[in-house]
Amino acid sequence: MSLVRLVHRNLWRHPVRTALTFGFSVLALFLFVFLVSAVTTLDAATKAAASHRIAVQSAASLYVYMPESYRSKIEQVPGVESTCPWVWFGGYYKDPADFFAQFAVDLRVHVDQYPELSIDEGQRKELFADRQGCLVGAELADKFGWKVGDRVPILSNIYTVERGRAWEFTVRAVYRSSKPNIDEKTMFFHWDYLKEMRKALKAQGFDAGGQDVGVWMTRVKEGYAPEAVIAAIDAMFEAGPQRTRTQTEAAFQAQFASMLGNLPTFIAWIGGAVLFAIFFSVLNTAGMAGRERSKDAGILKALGFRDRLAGSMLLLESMAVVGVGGVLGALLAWAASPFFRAKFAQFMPNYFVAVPTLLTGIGIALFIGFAGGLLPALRLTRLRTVEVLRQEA
Amino acid sequence: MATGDGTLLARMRGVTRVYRRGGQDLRVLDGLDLDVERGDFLALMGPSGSGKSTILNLLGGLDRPDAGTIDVEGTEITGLSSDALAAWRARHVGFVFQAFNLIPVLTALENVELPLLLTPLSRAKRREHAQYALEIVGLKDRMDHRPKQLSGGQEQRVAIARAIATDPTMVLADEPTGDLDRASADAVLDILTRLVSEHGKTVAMVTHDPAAAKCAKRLLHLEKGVLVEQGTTHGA
Repeated sequence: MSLVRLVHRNLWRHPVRTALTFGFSVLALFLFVFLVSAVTTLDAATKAAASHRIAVQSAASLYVYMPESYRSKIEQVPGVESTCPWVWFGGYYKDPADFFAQFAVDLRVHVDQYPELSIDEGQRKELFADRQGCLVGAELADKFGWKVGDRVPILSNIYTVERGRAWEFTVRAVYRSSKPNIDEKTMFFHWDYLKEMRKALKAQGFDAGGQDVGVWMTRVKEGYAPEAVIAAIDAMFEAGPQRTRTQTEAAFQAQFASMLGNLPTFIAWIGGAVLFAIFFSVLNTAGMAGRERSKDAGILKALGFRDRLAGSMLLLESMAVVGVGGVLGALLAWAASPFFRAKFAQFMPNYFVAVPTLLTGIGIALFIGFAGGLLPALRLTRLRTVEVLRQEA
Repeated sequence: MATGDGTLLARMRGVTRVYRRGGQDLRVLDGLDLDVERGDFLALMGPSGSGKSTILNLLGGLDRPDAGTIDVEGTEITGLSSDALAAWRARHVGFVFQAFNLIPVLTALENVELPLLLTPLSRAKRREHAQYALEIVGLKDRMDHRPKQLSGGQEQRVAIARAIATDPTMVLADEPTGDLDRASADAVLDILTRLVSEHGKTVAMVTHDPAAAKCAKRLLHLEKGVLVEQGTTHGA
C-alpha cells in the first residue's frame, strides 16, 4: 500500500468521468499542437523566403497573365540580375485526386535563382539538355515511385491535348530543398516545352494563353535595395498593357496564406479556445473530485497526515489525468505529422511540428493539470478536519 | 479513586471552546478540568451539543481550545504547530468514528495500513502490523474486502483495527456503536474493553447508549459544556 495507490484507486472511482477527461485532454492538446503547427508551417515558408528575390505579377490578379515581352524589359531595370517565367500547368498524374504543383520555368535561370535546391550535377546537365525533361522534388518522386529516366505522362486541366491525352515528360533530375519556402513536392519543366504545347494547341484551334506568363520571379543584384527595384518595375509598367504588382518573395508567399482569409488567426483562436475549454473542464472535474474527497481528506488528517498531503493527492490526480493525457495528445500530434503532411500536401506541403511547439504543448498540458487541480487542492488543504467529519457523518 | 493504573496520561485545565454559529458565539466547553489516567476507559455522556465530541477532538488534537491547556504525556499540545500536531496525533491517538470513516477505495487491510505509512516501518512490517490489528478485531479473514463488502459492525471493527495499528497512547471513540445493531454494538464494545484490559490502552468514548457506558470504568456526564457528574461503573 502506498499513497500513490490511493491516488490511482481514486482515479478509478468514476471510470467514465476519468476516461472522458483523459480523452478530452488528449484531443485538446492534439488539436492545439496541430493547429499551432499549421500556423507555424505557413509562417515558416514566408520567413524562409529570400529577400533578394522578388515576384512580378499582374496588378489585376494572379490569374491574369503578362506578356512574355516583359522579360527583356524587367531585365533592363537597374538592379535586376535575372528573371524567370513561372507558369502554372494545372496537371495531374493518373488520378486527379493526387494533386501536386507543376510549373513551367526557365530551368537554367530557376536553379540559379534557388541555390537552396540541391541537384546532382550530372542530373542537372541531363535536365538542361532534354526539352521534355523535368525536375521533381524528392518527396514527389518517392510518392509516385519515379526514378531518373522515367517517362511521366501528365494530364493538364488547362493545356488539354486531344481530349485527355497526356503530355509526356522525362524525369531528368530530383531536387532536395534545404529551406521550407520550397517544398519537395513540386515539378518544374522547361518553359520552352510549354511554349511548344501552346503552339500545338493553337494549331488545333485551342487558345491556351499564347506566350503569356503568370509570374516573373526576379533576382536582385547584390548591393541593390529590393524596394527600389520593385518600385522601378511597377513604375515601368504603370501604363500597361498589364500593370504589375511586384513584391518580395516573402510577401508573395504570404498572399497565399491570406487567400485563405484570415485563416492563421482563426486557427490560432480555435487553438486558444480549445485550451480554455479543457481548462474549465478540468476545473469543473477537479472541483467535483475535490468535493468528493473532502471526507477522505478529513480522515487522512485525523490519522495524522499533514494538511498539505490531502491537497497534494488531488493535485496528483489532476496531473495524472490532464497532464499525462495532454502530453500524450501533444506527442500524438507530433507523431502524426507525416500523416498530416501527406493529407494536407495541397495547402501545407511542408507541414511540420516544431520542437518549441511540441514543448509548449507539453508545458501547457502540465500547467493545465496543475492549475486546474490547484484550487480544489488548496480547499482540501485548508479544510477543518472536525467540520468535514461532522458534516459527512 | 483510580480507574486507570494511577499515572496521569492527559490533563485538561480551564478548557474553553467557543463556536461561532449564525453570528452568535456558542460556548461548547466552559473552563473544563479533566484528568485521564493511563489504562482508563472513560465514557462521556450528555445531551447533544453538551461538548462530548469537542472533548475528544481537543484531546486528540483535531481541534484547539480558545482558552486553557491540554497536556498529554508531558506535551502541551495546544502550543504545537499544525504539522507538529499532525505528527503527534499519528504517534499518540487512534480515532474511531460513528460513521466508520473508512476510505472506500481501499481494502480493509489497506485502510488499517494507512496510518502506518507515517511510521518508518518497512512495507512487510506495515502489512504484518495491519494483519495483527485485524486479527485482534477478528477480521483477518476479511482483510481483502472493501468497506462496501462489509457489514456496519465489521466496518467499525476495521476502523478500530486502524485506530490501534500504530499502537497509540489513546483510542478516542466518538459514538462507536451509534450506527450499529445491538449484536454488532456488543462486539465493538467487547473489543474496546479488551483493548483496555488486555492491551493496556486508554480509551475515551462518547456515547448515548447506557449499555455502552456500562462497559467503561468511569462515566462523565456533561451539561452545556460543564462536567456535572463523575462516577465509576461496574467496569471499574
